[in-house]
Amino acid sequence: MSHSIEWLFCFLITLYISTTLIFEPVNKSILTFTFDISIKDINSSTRKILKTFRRSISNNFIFEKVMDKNRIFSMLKVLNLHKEFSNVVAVDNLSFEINEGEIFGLLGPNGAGKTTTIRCLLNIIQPDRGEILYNGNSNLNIKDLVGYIPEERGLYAKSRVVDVLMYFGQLKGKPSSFVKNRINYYLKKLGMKETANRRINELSKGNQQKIQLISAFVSEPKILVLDEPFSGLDPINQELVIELIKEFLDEGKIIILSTHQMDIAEKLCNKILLMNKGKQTLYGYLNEIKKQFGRMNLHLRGNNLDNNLKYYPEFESVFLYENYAEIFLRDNFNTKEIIQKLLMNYNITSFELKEPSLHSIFIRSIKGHNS
Amino acid sequence: MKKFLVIAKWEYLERLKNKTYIFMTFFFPLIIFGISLLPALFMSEEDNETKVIGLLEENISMQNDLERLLSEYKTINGQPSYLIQKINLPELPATKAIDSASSLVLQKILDGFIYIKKVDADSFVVEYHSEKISVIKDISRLEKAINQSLIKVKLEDYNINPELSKTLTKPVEVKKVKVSIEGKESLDLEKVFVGTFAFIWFLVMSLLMVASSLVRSVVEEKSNRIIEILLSSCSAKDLMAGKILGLSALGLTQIFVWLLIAVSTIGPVIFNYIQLQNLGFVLIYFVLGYIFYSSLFIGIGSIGNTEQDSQSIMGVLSILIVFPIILSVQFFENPSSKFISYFSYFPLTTAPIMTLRVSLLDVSLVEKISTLLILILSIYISIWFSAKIFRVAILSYGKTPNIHEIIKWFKSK
Repeated sequence: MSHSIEWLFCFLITLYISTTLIFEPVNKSILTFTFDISIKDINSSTRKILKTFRRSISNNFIFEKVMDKNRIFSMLKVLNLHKEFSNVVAVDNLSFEINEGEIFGLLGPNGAGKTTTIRCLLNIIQPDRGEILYNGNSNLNIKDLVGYIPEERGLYAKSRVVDVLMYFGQLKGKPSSFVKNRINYYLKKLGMKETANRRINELSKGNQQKIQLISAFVSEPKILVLDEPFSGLDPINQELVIELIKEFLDEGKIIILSTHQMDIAEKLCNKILLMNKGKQTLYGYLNEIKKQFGRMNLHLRGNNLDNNLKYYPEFESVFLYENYAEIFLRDNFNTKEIIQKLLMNYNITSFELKEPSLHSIFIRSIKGHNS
Repeated sequence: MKKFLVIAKWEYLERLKNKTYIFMTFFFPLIIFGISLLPALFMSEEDNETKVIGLLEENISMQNDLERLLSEYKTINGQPSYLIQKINLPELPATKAIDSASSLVLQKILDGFIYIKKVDADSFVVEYHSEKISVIKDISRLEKAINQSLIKVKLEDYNINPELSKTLTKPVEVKKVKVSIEGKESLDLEKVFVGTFAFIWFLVMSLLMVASSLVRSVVEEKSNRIIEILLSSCSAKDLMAGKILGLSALGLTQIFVWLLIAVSTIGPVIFNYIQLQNLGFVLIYFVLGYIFYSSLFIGIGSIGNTEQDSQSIMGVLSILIVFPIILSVQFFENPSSKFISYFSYFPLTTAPIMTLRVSLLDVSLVEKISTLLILILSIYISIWFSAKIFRVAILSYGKTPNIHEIIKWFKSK
């Protein structure tokens, strides 16, 4: 009898110490959303009406609570983000903000610090300095609000599609019924319903890619961080993904897109941040950035365009491709005269004066920054 | 559900469905049973034919005794397994006689021959010559028969009746009675030791398998970058705690299945091998030991980047795991050794040594509590240490880090 009491006593002490020392209780300070009306349920026009209505009756207590301002005007703000690794500055005092319904392009050459910035944003690594605020709050658990697709991808090859998606969804703190519903929705949307019970390694590379995308969507995150989401996808699937991204935007979410495909970034992003060597090179709304680059560029198509274009005194810089060239013009030159000169020397099939492409802005900015 | 529980559930269920795990859980006991039974089966296999063994004697005669003692071995057909053929070469010196007998072996007339020479009353030369000196079964039978015959010869030389000697030297079985506060209790120490040792052995075997799963799971997640998705959803601490919990539960399930198999095959006899009185303590030490080792392994395991790395890491971990087994064997030689008891306070051996000590000795409550506290503290330190390595290691791809880099990780904020 005394033996049983003895070991029961020890067991209880052990259990108590184990639970208090080893498995720390979850931080209770994490912000909880009491009025969790999904933003998805409110379409954009309703939101506009509510926004106006809210302004007019801002003293109405009940309405103020139900339509929490943070839910309507969600915003991600990054202030003076700084990260060093062994005295190498990976991210140097970066600041930016993204509003709901915006696609933010995080651009830059390899090694610019994009991945480190994303990892800091996702709280995968701790920044040395700086603040990340969501709706003005730096205290909440951002991990539950974010869906993420890293650049280099992989899934549990031997596991079933539905199990993997359920795992990733539940890891975001969502109940299994909710995740199940979302899995069905996205599998159907991407035409993959029949693959639900198949193992990942039985799927084609493109389909694995789509499953990876769904894994970021299933928890219906408030912020989506997509690192090269289109690589490995054919044009049809690229369009499907763009459609999904637009759906997310309509729901008032924030999307951060990191890509090297400037044409896609130009089509999708409202706002961009161009990084080089950890520093901000360009930041702002895309149309404003294009205005910063001044006058219209000359876009030429022709079948004998060559390097000699670079020696025209009227041209500030030339981006030459096969049968295509984009030219930054100098001031004080007559465009009409330039085109006439070009028509004499080259077999031009079409020409157009339009704003500079993101691609040319990218190259000019990075080269300028490096020099 | 808390995140570390989601991870634990995933690790547990995904690996529970794994074919290797199922095979190891259900067939491993059969393999071990088979391996331990095979030598006995080989030894008990009946002989196919009678072997002719020559006997070359000098100053001694023990043919009758050898024939009598070897007559217990029979072939499948009921014929004697060994036929003793005396070799009479009195006119030749010993070396020549051995050469002649050897030629009989080479000509396949004899399967082998025994050369026995009595030098004086206490000194004998005994040799066995054969083409197949590696047949352990024959050698051990002949050795046993020769020894018994020689003892008889020696006893006769000293004019002692062999039968009387057998009666006088019959061993007495010592009944072990454990005295404790509760009173006297008869205890079969050998059986309890075997039971406890088997328990520790289960711990070690299961840990080896779990350690390998743990290392492979981290390396897989690192190599295909799943780790980044996981860390965008939970903290490194949650991930580590989930893995430790899930894989420990997996190992404990395995042990539970093995125990069930043991109980169902051996039956109630198994209770002779368990000291029920301290079973509670044994289980606490077992579970804590399991968590301690798992938490240590995950830190070390997270350093690897490739399958080769994980194999080298497993080599190091195996040494750590097998060390308590070696110590347990030493423990049985002298359970109350002060030196061994010091190992109760050394975290790497606390669980196995205390499991043995509480089963076989009377250990004070103070000692039990202090070792439990050491173990809990060690788990805490081990988790803290592993977490420091783990959170940096899981995001470090490429080359395998050297010791300086690991120290740098450890010091990083």
